[in-house]
Amino acid sequence: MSCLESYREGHSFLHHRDARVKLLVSLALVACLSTVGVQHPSRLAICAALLGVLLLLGRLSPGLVVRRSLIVLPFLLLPALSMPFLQTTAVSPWVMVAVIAVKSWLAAVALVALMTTTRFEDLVDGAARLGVPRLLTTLGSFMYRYLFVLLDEVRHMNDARLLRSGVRGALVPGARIAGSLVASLFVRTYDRAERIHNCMVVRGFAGTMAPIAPQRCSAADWALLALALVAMLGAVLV
Amino acid sequence: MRESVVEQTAPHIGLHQLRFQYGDGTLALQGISLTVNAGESVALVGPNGSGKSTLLMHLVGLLQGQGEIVVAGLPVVKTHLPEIRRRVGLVFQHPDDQLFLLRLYDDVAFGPRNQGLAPDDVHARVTEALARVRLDGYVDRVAHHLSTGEKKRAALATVLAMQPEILLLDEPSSNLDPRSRRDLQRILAELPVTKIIATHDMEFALALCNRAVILDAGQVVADGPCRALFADADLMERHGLEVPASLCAPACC
Repeated sequence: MSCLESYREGHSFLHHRDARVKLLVSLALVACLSTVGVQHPSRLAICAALLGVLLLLGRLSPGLVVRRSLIVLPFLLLPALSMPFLQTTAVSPWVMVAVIAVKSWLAAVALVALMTTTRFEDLVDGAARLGVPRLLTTLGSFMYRYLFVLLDEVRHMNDARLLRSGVRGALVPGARIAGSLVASLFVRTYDRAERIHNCMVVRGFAGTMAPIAPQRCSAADWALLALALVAMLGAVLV
Repeated sequence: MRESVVEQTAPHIGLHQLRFQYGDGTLALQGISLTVNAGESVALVGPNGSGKSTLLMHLVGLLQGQGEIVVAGLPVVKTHLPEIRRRVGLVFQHPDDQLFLLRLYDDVAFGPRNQGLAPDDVHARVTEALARVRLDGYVDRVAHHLSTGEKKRAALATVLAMQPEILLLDEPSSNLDPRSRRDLQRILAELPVTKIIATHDMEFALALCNRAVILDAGQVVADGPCRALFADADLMERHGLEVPASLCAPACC
């Protein structure tokens, strides 16, 4: 389950920055990358340079970043397959595919940098402080919290199935058993949700989460935000 | 921990003819009458399905059956539930249910924040509760990184932070290794509050409680000093329990 925990403990400049700043910079960078056209490679270069600076500030290992960012590869398959059928006059379809691939990969790298240097709980807090409705951030944190518990249950159920069924069976019985496991998991999840609600109610929960305490950004946070925004403004205007 | 506001002689918990039937027809409680005085530690023992957890849930208004329940001087009715839940802490059996937030600090602060306390007071409560369960320095830990023993203690801290007068514990020692069980026992022994401990762990009950109530099939079948009840082999056998090793004559072990 460690694959679900993308945060890596560290003491870099980026690790210590406020989650709100990192969230804003990452999302702005993804938005900026999505607006870069094929005709403006210099804009792409500026975004890539900013990303390089962020990776350096986070002291992130290139191997780790590349490995994690390759998650975008399957999503590039569809545009790559459809390109030969598109009629474009300005540039070759394959150049377009290459630009889309680079843009997507850089966006993935930006998110990898964010997730590797920020704890999920800080990210959720940061989103709440940026004005994302508490209901959404609370649901997000519950989902993340119980993902581990549910995966544990799935593993136990699957172990019990394997121990009693020996090796993997034929496709149809396998699907039937998988269906039963999913249904059983659903019922258990429902039961758990009721129990969690009881735990919340007896600790005074009356339907709304208590407001989150305000927090001030440091000078270094503001400096990072300013640097990133200036770079992205440059990328848009150049 | 706040001192109990109820005089030592006044009943802290009173149940009269409590009956409860689940939706599937199971009669879980069949006319339970019980009194617990302030400061008492009572072990609620009985076989699986005897109604222990159901009874605890009635005391905080999570389930509502027929009969009368008075907790901390207040009848358990809808209008009193916020006040009752402020004064009564229930620690559930599964700590993963109790620890529902990502950061331990937020989980322990959840109750005090719902009580409307100022951030400084919330912080003081969290610090004190974590210190009581020997988890100082765990504020930033996430629940899925804790061991079962730590989760149990953390679950207890989430309730202690609300400074309850009455503590209800549902199977607190289940799934614990001997050291974690001993740690939890020591922590609970230090708490100067009224306690009802639902458990199958007779040694644990014996170490923490003077009085035991044996439930079977939703009825109180025995109520008295722990040692006297737990040493009665026939009684224990009849109700699906067993004499704890520490009370066993050498011949029966």
